Amino acid sequence: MTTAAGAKIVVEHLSHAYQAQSGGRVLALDDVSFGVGDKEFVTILGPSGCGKSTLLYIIAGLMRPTSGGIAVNGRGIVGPSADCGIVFQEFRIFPWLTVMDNITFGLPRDMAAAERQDRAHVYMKMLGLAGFEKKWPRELSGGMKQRVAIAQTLIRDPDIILLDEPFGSLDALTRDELQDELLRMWERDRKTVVFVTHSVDEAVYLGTRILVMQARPGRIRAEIAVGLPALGRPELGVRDSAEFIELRGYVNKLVRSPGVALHG
Amino acid sequence: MASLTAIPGQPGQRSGAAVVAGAIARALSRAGAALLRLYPLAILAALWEAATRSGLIGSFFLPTFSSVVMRMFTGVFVTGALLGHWAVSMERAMTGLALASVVGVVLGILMGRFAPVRSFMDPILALFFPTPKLALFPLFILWLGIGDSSKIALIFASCLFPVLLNTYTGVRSVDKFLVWNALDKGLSTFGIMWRVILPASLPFIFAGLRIAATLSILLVVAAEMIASNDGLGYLAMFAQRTFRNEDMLAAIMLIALTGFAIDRILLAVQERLFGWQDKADFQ
Repeated sequence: MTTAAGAKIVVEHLSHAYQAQSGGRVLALDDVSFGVGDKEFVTILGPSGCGKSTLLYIIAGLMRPTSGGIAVNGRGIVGPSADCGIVFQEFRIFPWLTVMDNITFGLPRDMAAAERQDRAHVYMKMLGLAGFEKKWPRELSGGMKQRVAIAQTLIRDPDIILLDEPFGSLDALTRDELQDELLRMWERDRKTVVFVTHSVDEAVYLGTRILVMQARPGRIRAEIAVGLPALGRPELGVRDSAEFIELRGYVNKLVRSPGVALHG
Repeated sequence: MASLTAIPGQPGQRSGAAVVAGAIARALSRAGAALLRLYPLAILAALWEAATRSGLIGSFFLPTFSSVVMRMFTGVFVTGALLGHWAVSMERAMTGLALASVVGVVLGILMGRFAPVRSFMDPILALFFPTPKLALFPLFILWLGIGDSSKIALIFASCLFPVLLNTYTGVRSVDKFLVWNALDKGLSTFGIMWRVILPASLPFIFAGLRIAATLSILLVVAAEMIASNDGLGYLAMFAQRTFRNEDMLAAIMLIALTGFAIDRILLAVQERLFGWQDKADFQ
C-alpha cells in the first residue's frame, strides 16, 4: 500500500533541513517516502524531535520541504488547500471568538448566517458541544477545546484530516473518549486520516497502518499494517484484546530498540 | 373558544418597568462602588482644605481646595470661561492622538509581519523613541507655525511610539499556530491580518492607547504653555503670571480630571472588549 493509483498522499524522498540556533544544520527529515491510500487511517509514531510534526506541516502546505516530492490528491503542494484540514496540538483555537464563531471560522464569508449556524450545529451535536455556542474558549476544559478545534476542521469537509498529537495534553479518560469518537467519525465518514503521536498505545489503537519514525535524522524505520479494525471497534473492548496487547508489545519493543533493521 | 385563543400568561418574565428599574439600580450601585474606591482622593482634598483654611499654608501660595473647585465649576458651567479653552485643548490632543493611533497600529502591524519593513524602521525608531519630542517643538513651530498644526505634530510624534511599539510587540507575540490554523482554514493574507493578527494584538494595542491618551493630555498642556494664546495650558500659565492662583489651579484641576476620565473610559472599554481574556491577563 504505497504509491498506488488511488493514493491520497504521496511522499517521495522528502528531506527537510533547518539552521539550528547554534548554527549547525539539522536534518529534521531525511529521505522519507511513503503513501497514504484513500480512506486509510495512518498513525505516525515517533519520539519528540523525529520530524513527525514537520512532516505533517509539509503535507498541510504550511512548510516547504528542502528537497523531494509530495503530492496530495495527485497535485503538487503550493500552500494550504481545502483538501486538507489540520488539528494542532494544545487546542489552537481563537481565544477571542466564542465556540460558535470558532467553529464557523473557516466557512466562506459570503455564506448566509443561518446556513453557517446550521452546519455548526451538526458538528456541535456530533462532538457533544451543544449548549456551548456562546462560551469563550477560556471557559472550556482542554477536551472541550480540542472538540472545538476538530469541529472547526471538519466543518470545511476536507478529504484528508491531519492531526498533530491532538490528544497529547489531555487526561487519560478524556483521551480515550476522544479517540473512540474520532474512530466512530472515521468509520462513518471514511475520510483519510493521518494522525501523529508519540504514544504507542494511541498509534496501535487508532491506525490501520503505523509508520514508526526515528530521530536525528528523522526517518521512517518501519511500517506496520494493523489488523485490529476488523474487530469492529471501538465498542468491542479492543484495548483489552490479546491482539491489541501483543501488537502493542511488538511496537513498543521496536520503538525502544535502536538500530534494528526492519522492513519499510 | 376564548380560552383557546387567549395568550397564556408568562409568569417567568418580569415586566419591562421592573427590568429597567433593576438595571438602573445596578448601574447606581456600580457607580457608588466606583466612587467609594476614590476615597484616597477625598482624604487628599480634605488635607488640602484643612491646611489652607487653618492658615498653615498661606493663601498666596495655595488657595483653598473648595475655592478652586468653585472656580472650576463656575468656569465650566456658569461663565463658560474654562470650557472654550478646554475644547481647544481637547481638539488638539484628540486629533494628535487619533492620527498617532491609526499610523501606529498600521505601521506596527506591518513591522511585525514584514521583515523588510522591520529592518528599515528599527534603527529609525531606536533613534527617535528616546529623543525628547518636546525638544523638537521649536522645529515644529518653525515648520508649521504657531497655530494648531505644530501642537498636533508634537502630540502625534509623542503618542506614536507607545501605540507603534505596543502594536509591534503584540503582533510579534501572536501564536504562530493560530496563524497556521487560519491559513489552513483558507484565509488570505489580508484575512489573517484582520481576523487573527489584529484581534490577537488588540490587548497590547489598547495598553499602548492608554499610555498615548495620557501623553496627549500632558503634551497639549506643555505645548500651550510654551507657545499659544488659547487652551488650558495657556490659561494656567497666564493666570500664574498675573497671580491668579485660583484660576491657575482651576485650569490644572480640569486638565487632571479630563485625563483621569479618559483613562477610566478606556479602562472600561478595555474590560468590555476583552471579556475573552483570562482576568489575570489584564489586572
